[in-house]
Amino acid sequence: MGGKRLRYSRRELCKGVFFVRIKEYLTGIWHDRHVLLALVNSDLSQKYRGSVLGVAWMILTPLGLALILGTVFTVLFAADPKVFIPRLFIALNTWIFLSGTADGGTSSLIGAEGYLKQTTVNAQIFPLRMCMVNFTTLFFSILAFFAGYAFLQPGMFGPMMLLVIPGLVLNVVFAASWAMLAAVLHLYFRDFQPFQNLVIQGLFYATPIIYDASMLAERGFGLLYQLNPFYYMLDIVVKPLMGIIAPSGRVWVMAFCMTAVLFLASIKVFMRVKRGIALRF
Amino acid sequence: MSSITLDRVNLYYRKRQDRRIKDFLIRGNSRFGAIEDDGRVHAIRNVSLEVHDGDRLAIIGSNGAGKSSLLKVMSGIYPPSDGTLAVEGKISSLFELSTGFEQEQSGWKNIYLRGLMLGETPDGIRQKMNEIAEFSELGDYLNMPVKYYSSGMYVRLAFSVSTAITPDILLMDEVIAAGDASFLDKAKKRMRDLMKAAQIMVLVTHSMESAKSMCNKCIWFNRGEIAMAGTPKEVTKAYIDATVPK
Repeated sequence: MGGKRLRYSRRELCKGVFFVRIKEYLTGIWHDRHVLLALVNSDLSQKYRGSVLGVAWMILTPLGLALILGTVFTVLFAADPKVFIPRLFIALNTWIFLSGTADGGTSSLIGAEGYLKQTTVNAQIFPLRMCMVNFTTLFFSILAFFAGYAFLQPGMFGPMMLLVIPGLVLNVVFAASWAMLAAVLHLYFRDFQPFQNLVIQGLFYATPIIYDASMLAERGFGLLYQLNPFYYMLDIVVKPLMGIIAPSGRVWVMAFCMTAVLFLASIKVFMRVKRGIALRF
Repeated sequence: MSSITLDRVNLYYRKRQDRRIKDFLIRGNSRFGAIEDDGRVHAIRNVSLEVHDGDRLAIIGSNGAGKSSLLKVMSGIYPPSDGTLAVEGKISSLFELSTGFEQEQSGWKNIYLRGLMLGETPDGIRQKMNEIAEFSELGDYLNMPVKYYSSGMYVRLAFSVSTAITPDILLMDEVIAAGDASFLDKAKKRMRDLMKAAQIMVLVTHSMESAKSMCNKCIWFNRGEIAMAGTPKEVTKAYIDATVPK
């Protein structure tokens, strides 16, 4: 609680204009950045403690899944394994990042009860903790992807791949904002977590992860992915990394707008309830 | 200059009610019943209070009077539902010491994390780690995940970290009830040192002796309100006269 000057009154809390809340939200994260990094470090070191292969599982799990699914689908759809398996690997990892962060977000505040009832540490770091842990896994998966792809398709490497950087930035902001909202919703409505899990499981099959979006369009189900926010978030990571075609301008605009709306909504909701979180346990 | 000022502060909170489908379908089935129909608790009622440099304030009162809630409002953990709270100075809180650990992590890592949460910088807490470890007397246990610790060991660890940081304002809620006799003596001595160093101390206690020996001001808190304020001698006498059957 080092050196904080506190001044709370109900009236002051309610009259704060929105951009002040955005500033307060961001400065709160900066203020507690060391706590956040220590928590992320702790989660990562804990995740594979006692395991012989350790952090290698971060890459082996999605790689194994991509190989199994990729082989099955290559046979079923007669797809080129050199394209299909890397695409599946990266789409699957991005999906695991987004869905894992959304799921982890739900329990992030409840799991931090001990800290929030004892210190004035900024509560927004706890959903962010989930996002950063999952992003670390995604980051290592992307490195593994580059290594494998350089062997399979060396000709595909080019400047277009740099588009993955803004794609990942948008994905991180999107996932962190989702986790913030999920954390608050689950704090108030304990049915939210199983409900969200159900929706996410359904969305997995409705999102072009194990198949290409064009397959849905060809069968007249184009709306299924066009209305699905995850399609846009995945597209801005998968297409740049594959280096075949860049995501369209429309996809970028949609991804940016959805992320911006979710980001602002999450701050609005989170900062509105933030000071009362310790009273909700 | 440090200070705590509460101006007509109220605190309400809702007790979380675990409702099931039958509670919605069958009216009056809720286990919470009519006593707290909407689950709302008025924990602090219109409290105005000023604490300044040199003040050692004891808060006494029966269980459920709202003493701990008041301390949490002062620390900024609970926001006032109504009224104004102004605090000047670096606060250190000593309450709920046995919570807030990373269970799977070692004592060392928990010292580091707890230090950061209390406002230390990474370098600052690293420099204090050996001294904290020595004071806790946990030795090799610090290499073990804290999930294997006893309740006394948790308190030792948390107390050692929290008291390694010298605050302007010290808020305490009878923290050292756990722990063995030798540690208790050491902890009491450190608390006395901390009290001397802090500009303001607020102590929630059920011990009238502690209130009289450690504090120069006292309030009797009852049902969320200040029933009486004065010197520890006057207030503890009035409290005992009113609550202890003759």
